[in-house]
Amino acid sequence: MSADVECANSKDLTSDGFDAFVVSVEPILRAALVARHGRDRGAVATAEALSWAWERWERVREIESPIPYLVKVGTSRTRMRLLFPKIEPLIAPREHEFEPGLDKALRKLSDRQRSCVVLIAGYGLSFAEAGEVLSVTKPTVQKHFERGIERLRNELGVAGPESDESVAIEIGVDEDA
Amino acid sequence: MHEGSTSRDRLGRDLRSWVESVTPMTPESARSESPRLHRERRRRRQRALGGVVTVVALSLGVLIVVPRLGHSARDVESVTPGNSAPPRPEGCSLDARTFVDEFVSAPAALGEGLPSGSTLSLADGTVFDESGLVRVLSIDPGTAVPRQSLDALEISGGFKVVVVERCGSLASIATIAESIRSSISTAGSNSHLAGVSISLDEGRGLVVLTGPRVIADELVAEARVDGALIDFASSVSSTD
Repeated sequence: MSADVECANSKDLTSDGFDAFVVSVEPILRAALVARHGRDRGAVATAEALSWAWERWERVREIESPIPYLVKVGTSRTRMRLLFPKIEPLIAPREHEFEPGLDKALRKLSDRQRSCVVLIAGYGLSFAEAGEVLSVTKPTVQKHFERGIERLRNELGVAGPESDESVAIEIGVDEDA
Repeated sequence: MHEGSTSRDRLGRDLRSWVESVTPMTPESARSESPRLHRERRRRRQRALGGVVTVVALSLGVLIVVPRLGHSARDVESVTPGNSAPPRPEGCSLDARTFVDEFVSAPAALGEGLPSGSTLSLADGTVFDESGLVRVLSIDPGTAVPRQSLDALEISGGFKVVVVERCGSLASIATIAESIRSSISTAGSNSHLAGVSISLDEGRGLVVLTGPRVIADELVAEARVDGALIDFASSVSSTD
């Protein structure tokens, strides 16, 4: 009986703070991984990274900036998936309507362009926030974003913007960018 | 709202919808997914390891089996069954292939030598009698000089054929061959020597010296090719 209580207490202690950690970290971690690897691998990489964090919670809670670390964990743990992409069902995407060719068009962008476009236009991050996630400067983010959006438009065959200002407003980029 | 603006709006909406289609992880799912993801990773690793093992095994198989296939095919093509040469009537003529099959590939036949008056004809039609013939170093039982090596030779005048069997390693054959070659180069001023051909084939070397026999003899002596040497020409002479 006392052993059970001790075990329960130990579990409480080890899981202490994990829920709050996931709630705070998951959106940005998911954004970073989805931006980098696309929807399917990004979703699994997020799950892998957070599972890894749960298994090593005592260690992870001590890390000062866990997100870049977990991004690497997610990336590394899903690398094998590239070899056998269809071995297991992926984490099922939710039903959403969007341009059918968007997945393919995004894959044609460079990694950096795709990351910037997805983080800014998809997740609504500012250039500065995206720069923090990607560890690059704001001007670099802006450059990759603009090129990425332009290329995406060309791929999808949609008309380009008439001014940079209108793009910034319509896709929710921060005003100071 | 003009068309460009509509397109841009749609692109923005599409991208937002695209990212929202990714299922978010909850703390509970992070905990519960862990074992499943573990299993999946293990399965992928095993699959990958299986693939690597298969590739390595296949590669080794190819490396081991193919050369053997090639070797046995060549043996079948060139080796005459049996260890002794059939008796030859005096004055018979042997073509290069028969010579190789019956005398070079069958060590037991060496002692019997060529019947008196035998000749060796090469693929190019050149015919030689035994007086200009042969010095054979130890022969690897069951193997033969590659036919293509002998058939491809263009020999004129007197000649010697020196067959060097695997003497421990390919390197030692190369050493002997190089030794002969260097002897020839030091005797380069000797205009009587028409040429030398040295070929190595799967552990055996075939050295053909063309030119007057006396000079070829000297060169072989100078090269100190000895040991298990069988002077085929001598055995021919002794049977005479």
